[in-house]
Amino acid sequence: MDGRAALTLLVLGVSSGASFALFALGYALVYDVLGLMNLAHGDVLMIATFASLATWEATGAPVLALGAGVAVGAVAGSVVDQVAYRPLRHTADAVAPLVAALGAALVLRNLAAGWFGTADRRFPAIIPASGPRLGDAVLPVAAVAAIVVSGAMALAVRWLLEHTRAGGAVLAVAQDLTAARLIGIPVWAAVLATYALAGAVAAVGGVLYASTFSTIRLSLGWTATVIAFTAAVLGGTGSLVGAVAGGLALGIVESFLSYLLPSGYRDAIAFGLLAAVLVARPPRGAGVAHARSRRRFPSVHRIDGD
Amino acid sequence: LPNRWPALASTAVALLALAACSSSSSKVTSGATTTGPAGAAGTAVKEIKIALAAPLTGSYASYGKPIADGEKLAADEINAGGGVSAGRYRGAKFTIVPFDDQLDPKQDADIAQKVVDDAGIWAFTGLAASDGALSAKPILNRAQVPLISSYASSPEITRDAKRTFIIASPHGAYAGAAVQAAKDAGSQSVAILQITGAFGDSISKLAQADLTAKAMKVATVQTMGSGDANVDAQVLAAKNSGADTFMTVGYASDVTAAVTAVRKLQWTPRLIDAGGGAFDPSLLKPGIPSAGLTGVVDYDAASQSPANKVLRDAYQKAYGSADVPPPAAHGYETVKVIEAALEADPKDRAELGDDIGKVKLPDTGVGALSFDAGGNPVGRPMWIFTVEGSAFHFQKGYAYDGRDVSPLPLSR
Repeated sequence: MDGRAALTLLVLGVSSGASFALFALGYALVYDVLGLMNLAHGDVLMIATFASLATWEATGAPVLALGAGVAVGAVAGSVVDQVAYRPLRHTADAVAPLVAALGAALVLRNLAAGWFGTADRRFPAIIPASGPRLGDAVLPVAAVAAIVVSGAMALAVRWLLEHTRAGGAVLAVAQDLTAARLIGIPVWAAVLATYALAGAVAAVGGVLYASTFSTIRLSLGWTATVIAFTAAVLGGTGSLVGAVAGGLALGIVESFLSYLLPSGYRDAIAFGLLAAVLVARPPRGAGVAHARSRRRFPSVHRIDGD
Repeated sequence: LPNRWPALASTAVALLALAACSSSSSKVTSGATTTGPAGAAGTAVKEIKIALAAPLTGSYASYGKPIADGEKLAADEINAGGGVSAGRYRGAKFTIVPFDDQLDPKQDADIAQKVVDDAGIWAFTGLAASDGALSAKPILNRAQVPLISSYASSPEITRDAKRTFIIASPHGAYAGAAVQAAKDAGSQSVAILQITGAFGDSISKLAQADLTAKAMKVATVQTMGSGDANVDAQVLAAKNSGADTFMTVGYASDVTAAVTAVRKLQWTPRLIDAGGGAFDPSLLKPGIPSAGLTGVVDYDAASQSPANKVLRDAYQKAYGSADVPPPAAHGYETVKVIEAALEADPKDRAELGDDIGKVKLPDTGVGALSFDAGGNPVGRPMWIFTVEGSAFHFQKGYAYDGRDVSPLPLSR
């Protein structure tokens, strides 16, 4: 591989990694703040992206289409929480929320199939792919902006959680739902805000991804969930900034692997990498919520084995 | 906070397991045979049930639904004319029993077992993917149930098989015509991007052999999963191989992803699709950079033959367009072949399979149809077209005869 090819692959990797970073950020938000693996995350993203396409087809206005996607993502994320997760908030069974998440994902997929059809759809460049040409590929300004914005958003959320009363309230919810409620924190608002933000961020990622590859299909939901989960683990579970970095890294690694290896090995290596990271570097449970909540709420801190 | 490591690990395992096991395993009954649905001697048969397995929903429904549409058109036409026209089944009406296989070979195996177990069904038809046909084949063969692959056409489907037939042109015809198109255009070095699986592997290997035989270089063979939207890296590898021609083997969505990546990387090779995926209306949509793409197909929808006029008129009436998709034309042929075989009075499914092999139809709409001893269609032409503007422009026709291709008169 010569330098030009390497540069091109890097640009292509950054281009797709920007979407992955947004997928992962939304996923990590829910995981960090609420400790829930939201396996419906990708399908929230998918349905929001379809909604964006439908709006674009109806109006031809890219900004409106993106806005509609963000709105649908926020609403869908919140509805999933209220319908699927809220009733299980106090259960001690760790598997129940995962099953509920899978059920919510299937419901969203079937709703999307009913509303938007099951065929693959051509997706317009709602987010333009223009930018400087490096090697053989264009580095989209939008992708770079997405990485910068998602990184900044991760830092901002982290700062908000650590330094504001509202953030502290969210962390309290994450740490002990009952205690938080007892001290007067509006739990429902904190949880709802988290899901809404995660859904909105995911929607931007979905529109960016579909714009980059000019197509959308129902299976994007499952694909995005796997990508988000993998990126979050690669970036160090418990870190919003890490999730963004993990998404970017996954895009770049995938780009180089696709060039160097037959595609049949690509998924195996991606999953292998995920398994290797999980085994070699098990999460320390020391994400934003954990580390800071222990300091702020020592009275309700639980020993969690790290 | 609780330790999340066990939950994380279990989620990773669940994700892997779900990815690997998207469908239930198939049940195989060994040594099963069938006495056929003809019923007891002397009992009048009023209904001929035919199983159709194809992707009727999902990303590949653009292949499966037309097969179903075509079979329904033929069944409706036969039924409107009074049913089977001759023999002991005279007057019997066709019923198509659809199964949505989602292009999943495991589901095709399950459906095959259901068909074997349902003595009221005469034959297993449809199939948009060779993997599915290969999955269903052993189950149907053991039970002596006829298998007619309406659209999937890997030579492996009919290899070492009995009562198994291909309706569409075999993969060798697709590969041969595409390679001939490359040679005619002056190609010297060809990079191939194929989807994984029996369909992609089969045509790709046949094309590679043909390219070598015709003194063209195979610069590289890249693979992609069908449905992958991101094939940028594979196309970059193809570009860097120094090839002057880029050949795709995949479904319409795969061809779209490939040509999109070609343009994204500012590569200007000769573009040829060898898999038939380019002959899809989605390639003509605004924004798809398919201009100049050369493709191959085994059905000339504009043919002025009497049978094709009947097919086009019926399709127009039923679906509002005279542009009959190739899978629909092959679905239409499938039922016509079964009707013709039933006129030979088979007493059960096994005999129906034997009789299908003897059918000779002068024109089904696609053209003449008969089978060689192996169950492959013989003497079918291949058509080469280019995508120009918002239309397919037919350029040349080739007869396929073993490894040899030669020009045929154009139908229009």
